[in-house]
Amino acid sequence: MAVALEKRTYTIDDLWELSHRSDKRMELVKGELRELAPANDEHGYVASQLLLVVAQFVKQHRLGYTFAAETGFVLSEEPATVRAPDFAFVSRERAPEDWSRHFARYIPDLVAEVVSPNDTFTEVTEKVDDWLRSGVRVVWVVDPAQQTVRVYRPDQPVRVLRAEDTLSGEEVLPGFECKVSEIFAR
Amino acid sequence: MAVTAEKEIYTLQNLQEISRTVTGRWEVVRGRLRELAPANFKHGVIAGRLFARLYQFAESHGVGYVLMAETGFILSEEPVTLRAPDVAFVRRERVPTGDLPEQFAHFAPDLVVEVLSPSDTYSALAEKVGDWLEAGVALVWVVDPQGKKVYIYRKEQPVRVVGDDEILSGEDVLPGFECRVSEIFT
Repeated sequence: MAVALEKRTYTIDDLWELSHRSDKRMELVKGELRELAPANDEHGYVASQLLLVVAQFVKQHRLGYTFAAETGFVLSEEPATVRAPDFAFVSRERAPEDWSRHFARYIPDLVAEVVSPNDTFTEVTEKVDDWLRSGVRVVWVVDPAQQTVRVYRPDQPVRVLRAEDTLSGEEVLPGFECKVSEIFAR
Repeated sequence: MAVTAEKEIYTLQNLQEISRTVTGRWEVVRGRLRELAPANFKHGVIAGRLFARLYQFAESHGVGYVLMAETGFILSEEPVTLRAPDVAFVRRERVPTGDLPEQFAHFAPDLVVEVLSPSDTYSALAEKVGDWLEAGVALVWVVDPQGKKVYIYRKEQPVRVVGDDEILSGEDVLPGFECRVSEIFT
C-alpha cells in the first residue's frame, strides 16, 4: 500500500539518490514520491510462489529474465514515473545486453501485482493503467483474499480466473500453465 | 463503499429477516452479509448529480426507472448474492406491467453507477463490478471523484476511461444520454 510523502516534484535522479540513503521501498508516480509499506505475510508468500513457478519456466526455456519485488522500472522520464512491481518478466528481446545496475530503462513483458487487503481500487487500477500504457503486454493482478487472478491486456476485456482455472502464459510465455489454486496453496 | 462486517452464511429465505434486523445499508455476497458504511458528503453529492441527470433523461423519454442507493438486486440465489448499487437504471420493459414490485428486484439492472469512496479496496470493488457484469448488467460506471474520471465496464470489452473534459454517454443502454464528466465533479 502506497503512502504519499511530502509534496514536491522528484526526478528519477532524486529517487536514485534517495534509494541509497534510505532503506525504504519507494515508487515515483508523475514526480510524486510514494513509500511502499512492507507487505503482509500472505502477500509475500503468494508473490514468492508465483515467482518460483514462472522463474523456473523462464529459465528452463531460456525466454528471458524474471525480477523480484524491489526492482524499479522507469515508465516515463517526464513526469518521472518509476514503479516497482511485485514480479516482472522481461523477454530476451526486451532485455539489455548487460545489467545497467540502475533502475531498469526497459519495459517488462509481464508484470504481476499481488494486492493487499487495504490496497484501494484507484491505486491498483492506476498502476495497471500505467503498466499497460508503457507497453507491458500482460498484467496479472493476484488477489489472495478472493483467490482470483485478473488478467489485464491492452485493449482487451479483463479476465477473471478463479482457483480452479488455469493461468496461462499465452504468447508472452508460450507453454506456461499453472493452476490458480497452486499459487495460493499453503 | 466500505465493508464493516461479515458474518455467517445467509440464504434467499433469510433476506427478509436481514431487512428487519439490520438497519443500515447492506449486501449479501455469496451468502455472506456485508454492512455498508454511510457515504461521505462528496460521494453523496456526486451520486445525487448522476441520479438527477439520469432520472430527468429516463423520465422525459419514458425509457425506464432510475433507482437510488438503497435498492437491492438479487443477482444469484444459490449461494445468494444481493447487491445495492449507488444508482441503477432499469429499462421499462424489464419490469412487469401493473404495480411496481414491493420486493427486491429479482433481476440485474441495465446500468449501474458505483461512486468510489477513498477507502474502497481493489478487492471488494473489482469483485462487485465482476458480479454486476456476470449478472447481465450491460454498462457499469465506476466514478472516481479523486481522479475525476469514470471507468466504463462492459462484458467482453476492454475497460475504458472517460476523463474530466470528456462526455459520458448512455451508449446503447440509454441512447441519447450525454453528460459532461466535469459537471459531475465541480
